[in-house]
Amino acid sequence: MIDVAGMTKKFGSKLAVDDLSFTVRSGMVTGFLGPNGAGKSTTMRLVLGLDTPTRGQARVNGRTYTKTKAPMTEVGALLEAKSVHPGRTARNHLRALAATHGISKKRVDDMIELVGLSDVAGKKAGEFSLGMSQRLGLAAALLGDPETLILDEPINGLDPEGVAWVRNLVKYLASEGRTIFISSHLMSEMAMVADHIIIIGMGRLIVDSEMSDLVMQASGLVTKVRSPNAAAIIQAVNRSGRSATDEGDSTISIRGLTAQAIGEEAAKRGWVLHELTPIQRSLEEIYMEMTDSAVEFVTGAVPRTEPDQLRDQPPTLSSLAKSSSARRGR
Amino acid sequence: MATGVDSIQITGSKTHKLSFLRLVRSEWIKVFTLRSTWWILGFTVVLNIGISLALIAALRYAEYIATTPMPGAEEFEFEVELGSLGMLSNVVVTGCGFVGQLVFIIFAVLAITNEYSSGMIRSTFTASPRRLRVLLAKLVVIATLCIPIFAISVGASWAGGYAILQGCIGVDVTLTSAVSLRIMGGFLISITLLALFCFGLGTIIRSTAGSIGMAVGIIVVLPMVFSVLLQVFATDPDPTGWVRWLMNASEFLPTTAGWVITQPEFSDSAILGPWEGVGVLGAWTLGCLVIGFTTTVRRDV
Repeated sequence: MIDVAGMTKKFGSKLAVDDLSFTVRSGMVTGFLGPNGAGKSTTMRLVLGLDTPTRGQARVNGRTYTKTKAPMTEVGALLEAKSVHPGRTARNHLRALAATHGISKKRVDDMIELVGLSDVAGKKAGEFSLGMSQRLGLAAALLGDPETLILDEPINGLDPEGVAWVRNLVKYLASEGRTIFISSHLMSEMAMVADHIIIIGMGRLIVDSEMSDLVMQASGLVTKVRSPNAAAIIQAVNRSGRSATDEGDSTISIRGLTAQAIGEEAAKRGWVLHELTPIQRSLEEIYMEMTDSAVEFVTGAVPRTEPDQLRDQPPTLSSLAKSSSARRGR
Repeated sequence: MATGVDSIQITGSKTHKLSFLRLVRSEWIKVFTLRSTWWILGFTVVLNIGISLALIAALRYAEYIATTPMPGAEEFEFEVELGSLGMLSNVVVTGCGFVGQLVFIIFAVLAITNEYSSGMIRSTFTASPRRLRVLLAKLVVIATLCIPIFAISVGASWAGGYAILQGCIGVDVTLTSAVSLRIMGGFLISITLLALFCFGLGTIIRSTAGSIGMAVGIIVVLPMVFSVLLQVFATDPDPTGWVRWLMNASEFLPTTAGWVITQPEFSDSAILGPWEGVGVLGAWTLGCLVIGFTTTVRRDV
C-alpha cells in the first residue's frame, strides 16, 4: 500500500507536485495518468525517496521508504529506462543490485528468463533497445519479490506482444495481493489493466476513482436527437436544468438525460423524433476533457479536415500559418 | 521472446535484507564488471613501474658517468659521497606518485560520477535508500583497491631498482631502514587519502569532467601556482608579511602536505613534519568527504 499525504514538490519556483494526496491499495492495479509534465515521474521519485518532498510525505506499507530494512522486498521500481550503466552487461547489472540484499544468482537468472532476455543477458546494457531496457528494468524491479511495484511508463517502447505480456504480468501480480502502481499517458492502455485510476494534471489531483465508475461516466450521458421540434426540445431541456446544444440541421445533443427518458418525454409531449442515439464517449475523450485545462505543453490547434475535404484540398500554406499564429496567441 | 507468467516462479524467498557487507560486495561487483576499471588499474601499475624504472635507469647512468674516468683523463680522481645520488625508496615513490596517481584518481572519481552520468544512481539508491551506507561501501572498495595497487607498484619498482642499482656507489638501497619504511608506508597512506579526497570531490560535483578537472587543479595546478608566485616574490630567504603567509600556506596544500612523508630528510624551516603533513592531508580528505556525503544525503538525485 502506498499512502501519499499532502505532498508538494517545488523545483525552484516551479511547482511540480501540488498538495497531492491519494492511496494506492494492494491487490489491484492502480493506473496513474496524466499528460506529459503532469508530475507522474516526480511523484514516483518522491515515493521512493529519490527526491525529498517540499511538504507532506509518502508512506509505503506504513513506513517511509528510506527507513525500510529490506527495500528491494518492499518495493520494486522501474523508473526511467536508462537507470543502468551502459558498459555493464544486463546480467552483471542485476547481480550487482541483487548483491545488496544477498539475492542469489539463480534468482537473477530466473528473472532474466522471465522477462525474456536470456539470449542477450551477456550483452552490454548500452546496446539495448528501449524495449529491451524496459524488460531489464522489470527484471530488476522483480528481483526482491517485492510487495509493491512502482512502474513508470513500463510499456514505452515495447512491441505489441511485450505490451500484452506486461499487461498479463501486472494483473497476475495484483491477483497475488501485491500493490501495483503503474503510470502511463495513454488512457486506452490503462483501461485494459487498471482497476483504479488516479489522474493528475500540473501536479494536482484531478480524478481518484474506480475504473468502473469512470466507464459508467463514459457511457450514455450524451444523447443525439434529431427532430423537427428541435427548438422546443432545447427550451424544455434547458428549463429542466440539463443542457442541450443545437448542432444545426435539426440536430441537438442533450447531456444528463438518458435516451429512454428523452423518448418517454417526447411521446408525452407529442414531439416527433427522427433520431435518438446515445453517444458512447470513449474513455480517451473523457480523459482529454478532464486534463484539457491541465496540459503543460499546449500544442497549436491543427485545422480539422474532414476526410473528403482532405482528398479535395490539402491544407494550404495560409491555413497552416493561421494555426501557428493561433498557437502564438495562446 | 516473452515467457509465460506461470512458467517461472515470481515469488522468491523473503529473507533478504540490506547490510553493509552486502553493499560492499555489490560495489565490488560494479567495479569489476566495467572494462574501464581493468584499463585504469592496469595503466596505473604500468605507469608507476615504468616511470620508476626510468628514474632508476637515469640514476644508474648518473652513477656511471660519475665513477667512470673520461678516456685519456685517468689521472682524475672522482670521489662520490655515499648517499649523494639518492635513496632508492624515495626514487620509487617519486615514480609511483607521478602520473600513475593521476590515472588512479580518475578511477576514484568515476566510482561515483559514472553513476550520475548513466542514471545508475537511481537504481542504486532505490535498492538502498540509505545513501550514506552506499557511499561508505564505495569508499571501502576504493581504499582496498588503492593500497594493493600501489603496494604492488612500489614493490615491483623497488625489486627492479635493487637489481639495477645494487652495488652502485652513492645510492642507498636499504629496504628495511626506518627512513625507507617510513617513506614507502607513508606514501601508501597519502596516496589512499588523496584518492578518497578525489572521491569526495566526485560526490560533491557529480559530473565526471568537472570532478577530474577540479582534482587535477588541486593536485597539480595549485602547487604550481604557489611555487611560481613564491619564486617571483620570495626573494628574501626569510620573507615577512603576505609572502611569508603564502610560503606557509603552500605547505598546507593537500598534496604538498601529504608528500612530506616521502622525503628522506626535511628542511629546518618547514612547519609540517612528515606525520603532521599526513594529518593535514587527512583533514582535507575528511572535510571533503563530509561535505560530499552530507550533500548526497540531502540533495535530490
